[in-house]
Amino acid sequence: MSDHDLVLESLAAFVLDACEPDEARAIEEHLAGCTDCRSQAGRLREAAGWLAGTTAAEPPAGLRGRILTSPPPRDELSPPVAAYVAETRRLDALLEGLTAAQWGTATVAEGWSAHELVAHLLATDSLVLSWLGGPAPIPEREPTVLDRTGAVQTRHRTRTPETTVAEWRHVRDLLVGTAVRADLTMELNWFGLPVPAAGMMVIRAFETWTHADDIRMALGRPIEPPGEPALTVMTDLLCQSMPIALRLREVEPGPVSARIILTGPGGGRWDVGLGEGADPAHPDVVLTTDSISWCRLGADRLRPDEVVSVVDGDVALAQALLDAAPAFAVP
Amino acid sequence: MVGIVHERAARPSSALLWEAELCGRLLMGDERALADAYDQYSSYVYGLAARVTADRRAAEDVTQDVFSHLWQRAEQFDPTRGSLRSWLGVITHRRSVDWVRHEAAGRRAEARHGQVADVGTDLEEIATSILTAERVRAAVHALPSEQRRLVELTWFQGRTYRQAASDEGLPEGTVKARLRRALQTIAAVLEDEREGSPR
Repeated sequence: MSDHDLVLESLAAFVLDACEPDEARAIEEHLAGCTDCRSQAGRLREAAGWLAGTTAAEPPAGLRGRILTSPPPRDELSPPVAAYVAETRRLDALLEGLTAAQWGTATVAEGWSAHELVAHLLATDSLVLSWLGGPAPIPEREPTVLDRTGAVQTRHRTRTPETTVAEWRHVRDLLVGTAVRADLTMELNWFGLPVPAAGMMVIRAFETWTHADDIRMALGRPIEPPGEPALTVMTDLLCQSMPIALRLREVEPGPVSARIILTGPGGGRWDVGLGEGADPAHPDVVLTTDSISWCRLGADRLRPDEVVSVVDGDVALAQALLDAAPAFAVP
Repeated sequence: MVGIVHERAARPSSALLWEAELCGRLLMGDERALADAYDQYSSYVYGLAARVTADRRAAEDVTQDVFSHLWQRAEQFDPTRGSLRSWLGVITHRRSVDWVRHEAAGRRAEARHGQVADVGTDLEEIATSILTAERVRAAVHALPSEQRRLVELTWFQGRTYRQAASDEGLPEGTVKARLRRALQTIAAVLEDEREGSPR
């Protein structure tokens, strides 16, 4: 069956699971390509779903335990979303049980207190959530990171840090649910730069880790490297973005290319063409450092002269790369 | 009744946020989220499965399947396109109907024939959306009896529309048209319910 009217006629029977298997398959095929019928089907299906609400009955007591004690393994999340989940979890653990004095401690991030820093993450994550088409739980309307950060920080000044953390967690959970279903190739705008949604989730993981370390430093605790799932996507994003970083720093390198070798977890080798006509297969410089220093440099938490690196080839180009790596660092 | 008016206005958007957050937590592998989902929806899922399968054991298996599916495939649920309740209802129903048709078709058909339960007599308290369920129940009751009978046969007893047509001695086109009118009535009730809310 492909006739639109025939499908419409059978749609109610279809959502009630009352069609023969062949007919149901034909209708499913038609729905895949027909927006009108799909929206009709959605409406009727919602109605059918509510029919079930008229038959609620308590399940036997033992069933809850059976279902909850051994849930089957879950599919893995895509690496950018998994990185964000992992780093927000680590921040979550860090924020558990801070004292009022600790919440008030100033961090290296704009001098914001730990409390204000979480408000900033709440603001940014909620903004990304809205860009990805997720449900908006907080009323702020500011369309930019800095404006929204200001608004959220002001609103949360009179609230407890625990309230701010709870709101941030709520937004984080919504963002994970939304990002998993979103088209991660969708192009978003990050401080004027086009960034695909996948890269945006990596940036969220990157920033969450950076600010977690800011809080650790403010509390006098040792800083920590990101988890490996995050490191892997962070190093990749940063290496791939080096041509843009140079442009942001107004460096015109010409037809040259670089090999970046990062050692340690999340490391690897990247051959990157840096200018028009470059041949990445024949790098002009090989820059070797460790993946964690590379990420701290990218976050503007290490100065280029603090990064221990080995350079083979064009020394000036290597210096330009190290100088440009923090180009994406924003509050 | 001020309290009810207030609840009607406030519920849908907070329910959407609750469901969307729950979905995110499930995707992160938070087992407490599965417990929350179970506590919220198990009586709904089990009740529907028990009603359609008329078999306690099968209803428990279906319930376990449905919550496993939610745990493993939470990304398939899109909170912006419908409620989690309805999504779980669809899955529960499909699995229950599969059970009825494939595993026990012959055996159970005889036993059920002719004893059509009165739709909605066994409504129990549901933690949220009692009001909506209440209105749907009333709307089902208010359906013309020939429509209600067909909803009962197909949705609650797992008959196909073709079988229902033959059971009732009706043309298939008539059965499909009546089912459609019945669902459109319910859909209109739900849309009234949501009027003025973000959902």
